Amino acid sequence: MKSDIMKQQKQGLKQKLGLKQLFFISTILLYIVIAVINKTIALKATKRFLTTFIKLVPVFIGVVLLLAIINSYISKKKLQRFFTRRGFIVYPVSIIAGWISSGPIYAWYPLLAGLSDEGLKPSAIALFLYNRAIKIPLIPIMIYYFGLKLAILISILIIIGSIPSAFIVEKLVIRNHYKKPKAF
Amino acid sequence: MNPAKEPLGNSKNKFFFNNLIKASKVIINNSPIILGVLLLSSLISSLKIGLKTTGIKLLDAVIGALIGGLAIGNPTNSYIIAGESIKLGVSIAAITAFLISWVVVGITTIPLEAKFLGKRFALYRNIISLTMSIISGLIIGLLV
Repeated sequence: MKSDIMKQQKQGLKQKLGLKQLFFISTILLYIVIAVINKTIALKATKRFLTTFIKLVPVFIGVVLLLAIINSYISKKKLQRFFTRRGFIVYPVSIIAGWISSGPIYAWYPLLAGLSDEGLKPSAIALFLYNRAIKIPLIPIMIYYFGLKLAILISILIIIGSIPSAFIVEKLVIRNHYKKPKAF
Repeated sequence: MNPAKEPLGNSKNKFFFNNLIKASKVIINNSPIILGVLLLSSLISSLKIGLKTTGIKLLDAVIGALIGGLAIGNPTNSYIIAGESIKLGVSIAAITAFLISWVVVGITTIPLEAKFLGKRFALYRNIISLTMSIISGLIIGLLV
């Protein structure tokens, strides 16, 4: 009985806090434990954390601004309109749409499924999903950590890599989906 | 001037301001993870524990891609984890593969992807994307 109540209390606390908050609290607790064992290391780590944090603040301001600009000018509806264009143009559109799309990937599945029913090719969907690895609003963080050169190099590799992978996916999906009827 | 009709510039400003608040909320919601990762990496570097790499670029890339493929969450976290891991000595091949596969591979979301886009599509896309993230990691590892 008592354990049930404790379990419920624990679950309630987890729901209230969430995993993110629990993770943060655990790291703080770890710092406290380290401080008890060795004050110097805890102080050194705190200083290091504060230095990095202060450096990251302007980077995050840039991220917030870029996110707001993209969300103000590019809506899901606008992207959908671009996707329904026919011909070769759908490929560059899918790549750019991947860069500027925001939110979790599963939020895009229903829209992509609908567009697929309307005739959007699997390669265009795969291109879009792969190019989501480039996040325009997160470019300031990328440059902060990896430097401009490496950030550009990784981004170029993502774009180049997305093209063969998208067409391989399409080939495999179509080949296995449209099996030729066996000859009598 | 009709008071019911708001000037266009004002509504645009309001829209941008609302988006600014929304964007700030995204960062604030993720701040416990971001701060936690920063705290942990600061502690690890203060303890002078270098994260070991296998020394084999291909294996580093495979491990990085698999971890990234299994992880879910905001890509902001992946950049912070990757950036801080580089400081701790993780190889660039692993970092690149991890960064790419964090977004393009969703091992845990395959069932959902399959439900909407088809089993074959979800399976092939994730396998090919995982392979491509490993290749990308390997290329960056060889170039840098």
